[in-house]
Amino acid sequence: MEEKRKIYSVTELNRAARFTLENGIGEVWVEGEISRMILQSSGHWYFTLKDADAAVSCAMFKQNNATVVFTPKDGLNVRVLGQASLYEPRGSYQLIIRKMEEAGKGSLQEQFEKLKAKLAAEGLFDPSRKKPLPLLPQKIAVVTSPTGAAIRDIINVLTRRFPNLEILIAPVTVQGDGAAKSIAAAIDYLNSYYKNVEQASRLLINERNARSTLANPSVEQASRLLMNERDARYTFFNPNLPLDIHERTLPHWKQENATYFVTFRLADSIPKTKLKRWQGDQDIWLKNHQIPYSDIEKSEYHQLFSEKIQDWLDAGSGSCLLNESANAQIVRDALLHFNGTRYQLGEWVVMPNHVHVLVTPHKGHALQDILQSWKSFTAHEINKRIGQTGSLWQHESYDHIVRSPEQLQHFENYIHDNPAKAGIKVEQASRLLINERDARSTLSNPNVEQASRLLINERDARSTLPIDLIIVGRGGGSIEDLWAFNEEVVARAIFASEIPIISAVGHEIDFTISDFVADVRAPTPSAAAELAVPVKTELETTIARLAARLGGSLQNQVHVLRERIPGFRQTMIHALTNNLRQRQQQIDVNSRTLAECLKNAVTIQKQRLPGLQQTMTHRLESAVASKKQNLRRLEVQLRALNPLAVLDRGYSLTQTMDGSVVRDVAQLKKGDLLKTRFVTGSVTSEIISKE
Amino acid sequence: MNEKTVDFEKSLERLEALVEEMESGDLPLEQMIKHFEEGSKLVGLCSAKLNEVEQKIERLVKKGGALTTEPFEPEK
Repeated sequence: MEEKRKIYSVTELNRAARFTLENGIGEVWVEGEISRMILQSSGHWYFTLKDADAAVSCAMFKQNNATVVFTPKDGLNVRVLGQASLYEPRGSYQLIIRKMEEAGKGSLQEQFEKLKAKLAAEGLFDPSRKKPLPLLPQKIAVVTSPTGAAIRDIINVLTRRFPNLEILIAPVTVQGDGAAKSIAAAIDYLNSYYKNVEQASRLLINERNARSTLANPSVEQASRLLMNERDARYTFFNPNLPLDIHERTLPHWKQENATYFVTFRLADSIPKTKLKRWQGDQDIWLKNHQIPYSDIEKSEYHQLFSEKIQDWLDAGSGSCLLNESANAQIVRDALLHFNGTRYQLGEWVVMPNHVHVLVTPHKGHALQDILQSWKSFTAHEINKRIGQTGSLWQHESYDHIVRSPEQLQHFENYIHDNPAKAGIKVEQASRLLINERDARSTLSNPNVEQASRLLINERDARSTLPIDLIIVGRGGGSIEDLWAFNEEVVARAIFASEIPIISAVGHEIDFTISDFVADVRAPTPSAAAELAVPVKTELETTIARLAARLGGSLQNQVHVLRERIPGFRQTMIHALTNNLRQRQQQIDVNSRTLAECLKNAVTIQKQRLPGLQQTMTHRLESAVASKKQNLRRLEVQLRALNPLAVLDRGYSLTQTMDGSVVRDVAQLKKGDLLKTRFVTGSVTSEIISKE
Repeated sequence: MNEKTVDFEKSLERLEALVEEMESGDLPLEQMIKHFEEGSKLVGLCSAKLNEVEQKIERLVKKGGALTTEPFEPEK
């Protein structure tokens, strides 16, 4: 009997139970209510799924929960797809969850179909509501993530097809919580952008004024967008990412890509006795409290230590060396020196005995190193300048990781208001800040400097351009990744947009609600860019071709007319020659008649009165002279009409200023302007007199 | 219409129409010259429009409490 008994170890039992569960039940859909939700800092989720009578432990690991499009919390009814399993170390039965949907809402596909049907019924996809895309947009706005392949592709294609084009990027988050709202807010804002710019440019005196008035007409919209922009621009403290805490006198929290509020101060800025007591108090506090601190503990720490030290600093103890502008300038230069290369500065201010900075270190540059480089460089320079040695700065700096947009705003305001708070006259303080802003905006890096100079020069002409096309989209991803583009708020924003919108979400096979509502759907972001602008060189060719045809057809017409000119010339010569001959004949006839008359007269005279002969001769002579004169006048007239002389001068076309050809001198009067066209050009002349 | 706000698309259409009319050959010289002058002006405008704006890529950012723009460099 004994030999036949199968003895399991506990491990074996649990393993066998696990196999039984996994193979016997396998992957199943389960619906229930979430309770005891724990979002671990590792990124994994642990919770209990229950109904009225039973409960089961659940785990959803990071790689799976990343696709959940809502935030699960206690009390929420969900439908999960999970593998029944067993946690062997404890022998506890659990579900390993792969998918989670909100129970009331149905699957994403069902939600998609439902919204699609609803919006279709409302007419949001109606082809008659779609706006045509402009042939040649001058300014295109792109609503997408400022990082990632989509924006790169769009910019590449746009600039390749049409090298001179304004592109305005509205940075948004394209997936996860709040993405849909940020996209919708950006579309709304872009629609008000031109109105803002127009209004701004009316008030515009210089670029700075334009900036400060830019957002005023729609502060609400602007502030709605603000949070999203901030999110894109700053990385906030993320409780789920690794955190590096190292201690000197103060605990310093470090996390990659995070932004820090940093204060460093002159060595003599706080009296030593005070500082010692403060440090003593702080040591005790730190010993009595364990990390992680609760919110109450954090706020207590802040009040007891951080705020106190700021107040002492602002009291202005010590030498206040930084009151001297040359010293402050050294600090300012040091801060700006690596801005944009090793780190990105936010708001900052140099106070008489301390410095506040919002700084985001770039990858590979540790905050300690940046601080060290600022402090050692400025200490060396300032000491050299004022001829002193020894430590200029307090050894330790105060740094605070920025945890949220609200906190960033708080620090920005703090820095901004610090001079006033410390009792520096407001006028002086604002000058200090403005100077620093100027320095920052132009000195921070050579490209920006150039760019901003360019901006100032061209802003007046260019920033007032309306946005005439919006591209909304993102690169490929799972249905969960693309979900923001299936949300109603985005669909409504697209529908309400007065500016035509191209939707470009994911790959060719992905269809989203945005695609249906947009004026044009592009299969990919690159394709959207191709749809957005024509190829510039093709347009140039078209224009060149039209220009050639334009000139060509006029030339043809002129050519045809010119061909006819020799014919006219011939005809005129003939006509004139004939005329001349006829006249000559007439003269001949006249001469003959004259001769006959003469003969008769002579005969008569001879017959009648020889005495009259002389008189007759005289008369005859005068008659001949008169005829000769007549003839000469005719000759002169003829010469004036000589067609060759006219032709030698070339043909010209005389027009009045309204372009009509002058055919009748009666339509002209003194003082009228005439446009005379020659083969080689044209002149404008004025009628001085009229016969 | 103000020359600055001339619609590129309309200009191009008008230019095509002018050229076609002129090529039909039915126009009197006077009209021909008028068309040519208008057409030349449109060619100039269209070319200028194509080159008017220098490439500018900007992103919306928040500065000093207001939304403004700054030059944008996509990550390589």
